Amino acid sequence: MRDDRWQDDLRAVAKTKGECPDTDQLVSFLTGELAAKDSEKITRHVAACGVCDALLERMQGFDDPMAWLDADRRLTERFNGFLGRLRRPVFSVLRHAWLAYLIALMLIYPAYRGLVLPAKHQASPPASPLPAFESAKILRLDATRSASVSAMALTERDKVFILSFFVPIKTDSRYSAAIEDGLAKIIATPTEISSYDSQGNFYLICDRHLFTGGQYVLVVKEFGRDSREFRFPFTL
Amino acid sequence: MSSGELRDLTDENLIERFQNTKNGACFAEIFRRHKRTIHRRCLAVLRDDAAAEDLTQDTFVTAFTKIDLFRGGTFYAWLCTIARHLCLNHLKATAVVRDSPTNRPDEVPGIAKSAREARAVDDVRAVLKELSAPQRTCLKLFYMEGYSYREIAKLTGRSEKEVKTHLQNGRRRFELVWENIQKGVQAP
Repeated sequence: MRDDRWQDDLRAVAKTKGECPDTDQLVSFLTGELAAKDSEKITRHVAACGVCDALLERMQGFDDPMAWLDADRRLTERFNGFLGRLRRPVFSVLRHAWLAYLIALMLIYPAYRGLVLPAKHQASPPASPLPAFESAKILRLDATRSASVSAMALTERDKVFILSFFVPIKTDSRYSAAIEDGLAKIIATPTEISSYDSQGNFYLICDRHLFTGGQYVLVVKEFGRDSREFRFPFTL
Repeated sequence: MSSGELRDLTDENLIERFQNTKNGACFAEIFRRHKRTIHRRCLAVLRDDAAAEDLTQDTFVTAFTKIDLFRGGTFYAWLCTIARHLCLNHLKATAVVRDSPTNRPDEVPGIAKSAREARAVDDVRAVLKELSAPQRTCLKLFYMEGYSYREIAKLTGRSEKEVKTHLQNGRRRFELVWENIQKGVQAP
């Protein structure tokens, strides 16, 4: 049979503990600032009081460098545990194969859009600067280029024709074009023009019915600091 | 005065300047120097980062508001005393106050009722000295004060599992030593 009298004895000890010391007394006891008599009184109380014993035991950590290290270690472990909890859900998602495939597809699709679809665009012919006049005849007046042609034969089917020419333009100048006949009479009034490629290449679309055939001159005037004039003679 | 010059001063010089000029930069320098060590000490006692953080702040706030009570000596020791007070009060506040069987008003503290009880008190004290500190504390709180595992865990800053282990080992050790003493006493 177990002898549990020791528990009664423990309770008997507790009866002797008296009043618990206040915080000031306990702090003074901890720092050794109490008189020997008072210190002994508290020692006797603590021997019989579980609460004060627990408080003093915990307060020992205040001056124990090993307890400081232990506290640091606990903090580090808790922080690492927190990081671990953050990481876990991210990687646990990948355990589901279907979700992994879905993510892979979502990543692949933009790549497919970027790589495959542009190839289809490349197959189409380059856009013409004058898509509506593809069948019109072009008369190239560019005297600075060897391939220039200054005469062209037109038929009744040609409703319009296009004059193509090059002018060494300046970015701060404006340009206008007019067409004179062989008698220096203006048959197409001056019109402001701009280069379609910003490099000095121009197209001028002309109504065939204004021209009866013969010698003509395209006059391009520059409005700017130099005010130059360019003349392109041609024959129809 | 620049912060570089303040760093060259001792704590006591800084506090003297602070008491005379109430220049917050002096106290800020003190805070910068000691906040980490005070926090570590509080953390070692409380084992709770948030509470330790709060008490560290409270320590410096108390020192700031009661700076006129500092009568010289080592300022860091004074800070530690304030922190000790605050930690102890915090622990007391978290402890469960209860009317344990040993605290009843009809009991006369400090006086054992019979000769057997007087002898038993001496025996128990002798046995308790044989136990480790955690075992002794857990045993006292459980049997003397009537605390539950959870309450003991809260008061001692340990887990319930640790408390159960200390109680089990402490009880075994206590019984062993106590029986030996009883046999020794009873033997002619």
